[in-house]
Amino acid sequence: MATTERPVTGSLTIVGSGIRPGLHTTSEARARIVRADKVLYLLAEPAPTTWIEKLNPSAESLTHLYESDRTHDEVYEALVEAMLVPVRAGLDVCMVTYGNPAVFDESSHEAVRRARAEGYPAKILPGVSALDCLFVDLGVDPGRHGLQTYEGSDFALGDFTPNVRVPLVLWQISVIGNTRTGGSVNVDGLRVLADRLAEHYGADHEVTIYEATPFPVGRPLIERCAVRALPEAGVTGLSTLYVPPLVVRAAG
Amino acid sequence: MSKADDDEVSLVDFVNDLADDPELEALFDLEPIAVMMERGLSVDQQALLMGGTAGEIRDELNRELESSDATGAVAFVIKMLKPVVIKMKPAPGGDH
Repeated sequence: MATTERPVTGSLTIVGSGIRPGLHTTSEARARIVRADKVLYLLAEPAPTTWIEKLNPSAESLTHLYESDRTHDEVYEALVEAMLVPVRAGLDVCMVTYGNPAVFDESSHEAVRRARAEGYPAKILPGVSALDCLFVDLGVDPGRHGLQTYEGSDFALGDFTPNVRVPLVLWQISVIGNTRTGGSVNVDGLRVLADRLAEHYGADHEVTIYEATPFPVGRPLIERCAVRALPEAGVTGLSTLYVPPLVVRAAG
Repeated sequence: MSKADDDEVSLVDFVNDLADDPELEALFDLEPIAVMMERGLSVDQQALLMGGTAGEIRDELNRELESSDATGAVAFVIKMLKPVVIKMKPAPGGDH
């Protein structure tokens, strides 16, 4: 009987856990986790994580690479190498990251680029992103008025001019201007962002601070405030900002 | 396994079980009080899980993890942060 065993060459598959790890994790992602020789994971919270370890006992967290006061470039390079070292050793590696690994995820894209350049099969499988959760929790449908979205530092410190008639979503607003890892919200960055938004929307325009719950329990953070109050509002480490249109077009 | 206070069920364990078992999570979504009572969660824990925000639940999970040997969160796990470039206009009469 012919064997179906294939030569060991090493491969990299990066899957998303979704925002609610375990529950949002797709069937194809679970299958990759189960079949991998080595599983690495990077989740936003220290719990829940045991579901990964049950699926594959080789699972190992890479969160320690985010130790405080490292530059993000250092962290991302360490993540890429942590994924590629076992691939080069001939293992089929499955990396699990929170959300969607193709969205706001520097090291996942770079690891796939580098693995392919070295001749290893590498791919990303999609997952449920924070944007998907925002659509549900805030009742926003991009099919109605469109959608524009920027990384928070890009928007606050760049020269983008938003279309104020189209909903705006800004990511990573807690770390605007930050270049190093840490565990606190940068209030100075929020002041810069509030000034930028006030230029276009006015200081009294109501915005929504949003964080999908990363747990299988509890409710999302949804806090509304005026643009001027943003620096003192309850922004958390993984908060997103939803800016509704200034003028809503009439239906029909 | 994490270690909760002697008189409390571990929230970390409960959250792990929900994440690991979609059927249990669906039952919790439909009948949360029944599920939490069956698991022995305290009234305070039930109130937190029913009405707490992600931040409030995070604080409690981290408190429990820190009281055990497990490692809690060390930093925001941000997966893409770009170099910061601040453009400034030259001062009047300054070098160009």
